[in-house]
Amino acid sequence: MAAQIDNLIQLFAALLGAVLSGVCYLKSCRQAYFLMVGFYGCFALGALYWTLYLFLFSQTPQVFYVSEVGWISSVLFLLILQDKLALADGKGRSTRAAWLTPAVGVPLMVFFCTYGDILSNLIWCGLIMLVSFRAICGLSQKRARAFHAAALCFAVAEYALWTAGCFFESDSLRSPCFYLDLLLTGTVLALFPATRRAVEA
Amino acid sequence: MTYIENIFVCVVSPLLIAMLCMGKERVRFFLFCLAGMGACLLSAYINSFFSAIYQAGNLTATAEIAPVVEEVMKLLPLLFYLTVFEPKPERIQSAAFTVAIAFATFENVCYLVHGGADDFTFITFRGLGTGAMHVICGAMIGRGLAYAWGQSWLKAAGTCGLLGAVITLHASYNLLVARGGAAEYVAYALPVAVMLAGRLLGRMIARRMKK
Repeated sequence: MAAQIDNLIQLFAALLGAVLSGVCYLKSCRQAYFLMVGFYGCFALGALYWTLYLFLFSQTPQVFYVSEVGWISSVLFLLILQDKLALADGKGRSTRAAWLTPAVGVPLMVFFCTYGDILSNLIWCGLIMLVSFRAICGLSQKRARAFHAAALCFAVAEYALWTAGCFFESDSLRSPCFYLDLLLTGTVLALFPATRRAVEA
Repeated sequence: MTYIENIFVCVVSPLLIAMLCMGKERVRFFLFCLAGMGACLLSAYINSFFSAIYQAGNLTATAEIAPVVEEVMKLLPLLFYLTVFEPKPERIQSAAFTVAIAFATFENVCYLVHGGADDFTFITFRGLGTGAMHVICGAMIGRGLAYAWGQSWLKAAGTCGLLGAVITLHASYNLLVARGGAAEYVAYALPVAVMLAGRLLGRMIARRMKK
């Protein structure tokens, strides 16, 4: 039950983000908002599939996690958006602190691979490492600092959720997974005002 | 058992003859029709292969394996077209539409042969729903590719992102259909509603662009 509540909240949050980004795109026709629609839309589709599966069949997918395809696509759109905003700021240099991401991410990736599907974990961890690497590099930029901070929070929330998922059951209100998933939803929502601030600056 | 390759030969033969008769201008349309139907035929084989490997039941095959295989197969002819011929954006859109419509048509024909055509109401709903769903996926892929392939930095990531989006949409539709009952009719109505909303949004964006 807790998982269903959690997924529903995430679905509505992503839909809200998609609608708000869509409205901003309609008003300004800026590419960054289009990419945000892609991010939120894919995230919402992944959440919709997962929620529907749980709601209609009271089980999770057995062979192939289609929702993961949607969520991976949303992270791809986020990466493109990071790239776009970094280009708009005219900087592309990496900082020393950014190398912390592979230092933390690679051991975590090895750890997650021992728990679940290897290919899926390689793709996910690779993408999240890229997001956090670019986010840390972007923190030095003035215009998009809030956006990169939100992207970094998103990456940290994902890592925290996966780590908790290895040790705790997710379908309980007492489980840390429930609250970490809510935190992830919060960071997903926070990306919209942060992007808006970066675009309007 | 449905002899899908025999149906394919039957449906494709008049199209091939028409392609030869209707001149060079229409060749592209017919080729994409054949590509869409061929993608559907190959999807059926690949779906059966994966279903056998994973010993998948009806739900798993419909909601987890088929959407991934079908959307990837529909994208392949378009990727070939994009990489080899580097077409104009408007041509990409029409190609994606044609592939999607041909795919949906062949899928419907196979469904009718397999399941019969005696229930007119259900068949009408199913035809409209499936057609609209494939058209939406085609529109998303077509418009998205036309946009993404115009910018070198967006090509690979944009294509993967779009593919992920259409796979998830298709899978959600199939999930509702697999549930049966009222959920099945919701599934058939959903793509039609999304298509109408998309048309409306498209017009609004076009108006804004003109301003």
